[in-house]
Amino acid sequence: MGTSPSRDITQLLRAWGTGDEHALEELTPLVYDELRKAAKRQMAKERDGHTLQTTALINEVYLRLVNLDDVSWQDRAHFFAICARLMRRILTDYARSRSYLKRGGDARRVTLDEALMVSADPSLDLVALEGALTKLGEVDSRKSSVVELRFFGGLTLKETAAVLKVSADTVTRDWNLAKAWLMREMDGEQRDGF
Amino acid sequence: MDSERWQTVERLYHAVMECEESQRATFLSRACGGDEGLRREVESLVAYGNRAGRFIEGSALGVVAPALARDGGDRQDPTAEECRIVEKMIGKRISQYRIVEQLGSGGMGEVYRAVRADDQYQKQVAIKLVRAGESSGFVIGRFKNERQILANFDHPNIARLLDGGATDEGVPYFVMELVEGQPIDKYCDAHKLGVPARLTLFLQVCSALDYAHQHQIIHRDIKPANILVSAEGVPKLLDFGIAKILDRDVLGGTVGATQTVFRAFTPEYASPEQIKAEPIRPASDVYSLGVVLYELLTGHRPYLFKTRMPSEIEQAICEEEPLKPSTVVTRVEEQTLADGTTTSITPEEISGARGSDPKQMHSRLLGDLDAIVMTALRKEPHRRYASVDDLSEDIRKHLEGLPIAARPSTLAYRGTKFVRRHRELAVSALVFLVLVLLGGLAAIRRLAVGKPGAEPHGEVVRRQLTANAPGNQVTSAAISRDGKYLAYSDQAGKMYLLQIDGGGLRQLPSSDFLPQDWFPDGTHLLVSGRGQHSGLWKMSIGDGTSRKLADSLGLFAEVSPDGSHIAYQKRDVSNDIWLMGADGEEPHRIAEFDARDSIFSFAWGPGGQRLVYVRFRGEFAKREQVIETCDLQGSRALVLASVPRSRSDGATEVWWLPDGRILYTLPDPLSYSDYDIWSVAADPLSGKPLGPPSRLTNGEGAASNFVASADGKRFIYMSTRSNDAVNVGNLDLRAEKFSPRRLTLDVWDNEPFGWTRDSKAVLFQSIRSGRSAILKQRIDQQTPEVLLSGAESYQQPTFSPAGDRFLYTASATLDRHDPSERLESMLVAGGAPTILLAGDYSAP
Repeated sequence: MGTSPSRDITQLLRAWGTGDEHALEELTPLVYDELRKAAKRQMAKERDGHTLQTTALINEVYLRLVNLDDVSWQDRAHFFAICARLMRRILTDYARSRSYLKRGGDARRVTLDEALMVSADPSLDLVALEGALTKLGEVDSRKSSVVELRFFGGLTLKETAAVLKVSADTVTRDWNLAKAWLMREMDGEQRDGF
Repeated sequence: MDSERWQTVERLYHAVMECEESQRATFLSRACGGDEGLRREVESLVAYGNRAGRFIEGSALGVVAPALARDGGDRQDPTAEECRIVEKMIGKRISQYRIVEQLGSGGMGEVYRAVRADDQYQKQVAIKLVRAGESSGFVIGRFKNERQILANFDHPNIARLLDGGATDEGVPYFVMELVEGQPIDKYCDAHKLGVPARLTLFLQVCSALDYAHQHQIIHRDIKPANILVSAEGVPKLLDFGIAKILDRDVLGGTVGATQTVFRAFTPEYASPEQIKAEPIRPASDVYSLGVVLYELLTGHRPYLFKTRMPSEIEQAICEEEPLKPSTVVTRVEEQTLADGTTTSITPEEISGARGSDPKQMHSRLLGDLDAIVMTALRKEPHRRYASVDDLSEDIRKHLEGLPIAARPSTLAYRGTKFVRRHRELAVSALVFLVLVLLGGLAAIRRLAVGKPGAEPHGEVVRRQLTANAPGNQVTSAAISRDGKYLAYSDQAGKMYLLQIDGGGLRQLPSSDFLPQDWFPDGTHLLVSGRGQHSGLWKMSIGDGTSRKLADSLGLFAEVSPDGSHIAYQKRDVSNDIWLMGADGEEPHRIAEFDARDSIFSFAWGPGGQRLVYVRFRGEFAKREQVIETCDLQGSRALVLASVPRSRSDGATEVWWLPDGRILYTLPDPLSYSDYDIWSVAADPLSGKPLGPPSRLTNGEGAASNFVASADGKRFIYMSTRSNDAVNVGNLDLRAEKFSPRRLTLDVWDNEPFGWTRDSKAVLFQSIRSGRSAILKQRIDQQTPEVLLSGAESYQQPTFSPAGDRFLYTASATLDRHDPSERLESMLVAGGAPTILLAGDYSAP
């Protein structure tokens, strides 16, 4: 099939990182495919009673997409930052496109092509979260990055700290405050005139 | 909030969180020193911080994983839990039935075979459980509404819905007539049914839907899996009414933002209006039928999804134009399966499953069937067949060789005496080879619609050459180099030699061959063989003996001008060109293209040094088609002409005339089955273009197999016109050039209906915001000028013979039988409309 796919993806990621929107068009189907396979593995394990740390799932996706040897270690921080942003973009777009299906609560979603048993969906509205995250980014970009790297990008505390070049403690504090802020934002809580 | 403030908030937040729970309030008050706003801000954040716990501690992927995992539609192996449930069901009683075995799992629940509990040998039924989603109360309530109608459904091709209810555990179920059979697509492939047989089967399905529509039930979920064909060959439609029962959208028509919107259909077969959650109407079923028909005829689906992201599916269905059936069967399509392996759908496979071969498949679908399928697949419901009955009618007409409604009447656009006569011939249900001669159809000059360059550079007259009954149409034809003889084959497999001027006809002794080309000395034919004779052969005209030259499954093969070489396609993968000697010596590949390209046709250049070909890439977003030349070593010259995307359908034919001009066909944007012939000149040695492309003819059928006679005065080609008439056209070509201007109209909401008399602007109809308007656009401008639009809809414009006025209908809505409809006319130049007819009338 010509050049090995993982090399192309690395280049595409780089291109997208420098603002090439067209690269995203090409990336999306490839990444989406891997995400889908990862999700299937996840669901299969859950049904058999295991719960897998889903953050590990995302790492698997990266490994299958890209040959990390192609990414020099100096680049890695930047690389993971791009990956996290990509995940944020793709997963949110995906959730948005599915938003006709279900919103919160315990209403169940069905299409005729679904598998046999329907599991109740987690009640997190990813689209709303992403919107809140954008707002957080306007207030404090580092905290927004922390959430992007950890929640969307699947990085651990330590990895996040390495990417952002701060201490793990800082990341922890950022993470805690960010969570509180986001949760409140999503609840639509009014803040008095600030 | 400014950043200093924020930093304060942050600092305080962390400080508070480090305090003992009980100390927090006092600590905060003190630290804020009276700044109430600050205190409340930090306090609320702390409150949320306490609740945040598991919030986003997983990953975003985890959130969407259940949905993602279900995308792709592939069956997942049942889990242990699922198997246990099924086991428990066996032998259980539901209503008066006892469950015998599981038949399968449908989308929303399992399907079981059951028998009446009291009598083993009586009627068997299928019981479908609705596990996923709705409460039983909701389902049963709905079912009661529909039950009366559905229970009274009595049609041989509909599986009846017998009963419904809920199990002890509260799981809703439906009891249905048991149908054992194969999905219609698998059935047709397994029995290798040809096109007419498939159409006949399809007509039965249509009759079922027509019946249902007359009872106000729209199926909404038509797909091959819902059409099972029994061993006796009787198709039955399943799941009637179930989609409607389960569809929450139907409830009162309002869906609030917080309500569940339940999509009760399979996305790939869903119509655009279903995708967009717009009102469903009978035409939605027509669309889904169109998708099924597309698959039955071509073996491909109209849209290829790479990922299966819902947004991709929705976008494709709502915006992308599928390839025409006759084109898609010439392509090789790669499919990625669930397990990551890829398979290919090839022309060989497709045609084999239809009892045919690649070249025949293409010509079989060209014309009528293209038009029928594409009309059913139109994005706008009102542009499809209005009813399933209309669709059936056209299919029946096609099978009988009569003109179909889906192909625009040439009268409306051309209105010439010749064409009127042609239609009479057509009505007598014959399929022709017609020769178009020089001289005299002045009528063509006086076309009602004056397209620029519409005066063809020659005049086009047609003469009937042969008559074939429908069902035995001409499958392939080749014209001798001197323009004197025509070799052709028919569906029955026979081959004939016709003397074009004298009319003498001789049948060639061999059968099951299709003529591809003549050898220049006129003594031999290059033919391709069917079935066991598959490959390229050299056949003697004299005694019909033939010798095999090569294994070749491609569509095209041609002898070089001097007769020394043959260019051909070797494999069924249509992206290469091979060369061999006239007796089959030294076959080698001279050109290979990207896997996603296909070469639909190619032709030798006059000196025998270059080939011209059409390279086509069929992926939706990147559809493109270019005309290029290459030399015999495969090195490419400049692109000579690149075809506008809206006209790229991959079925362009090319030919290179002795005088250096290259002729090619482009689809007429006004119909699915007519083509224009264009020409571009190029140097036969270097391939360099010698001028811009220009249009030669106005609305031929699909033209192919060009041959110039030796004296250069006569130019003969084949084209299909309405009702599958295959014509041979003869064209005298003058040197005038015409530069086309390209007007790009949106593919799916504008409908051009003609040029103004001064050829400086185009008039078209456009549907915007549910209303139809008539606009005029000057070809040198970007934006159109609105002639007629407003609260009403203006449609069906037709030019007056003089070309200065046009007729149209105005009505309050787009409905077919709107009583407010009026017939009006207006000057093209603008001005007030004149009402001609109002009230109940029939337009001519």
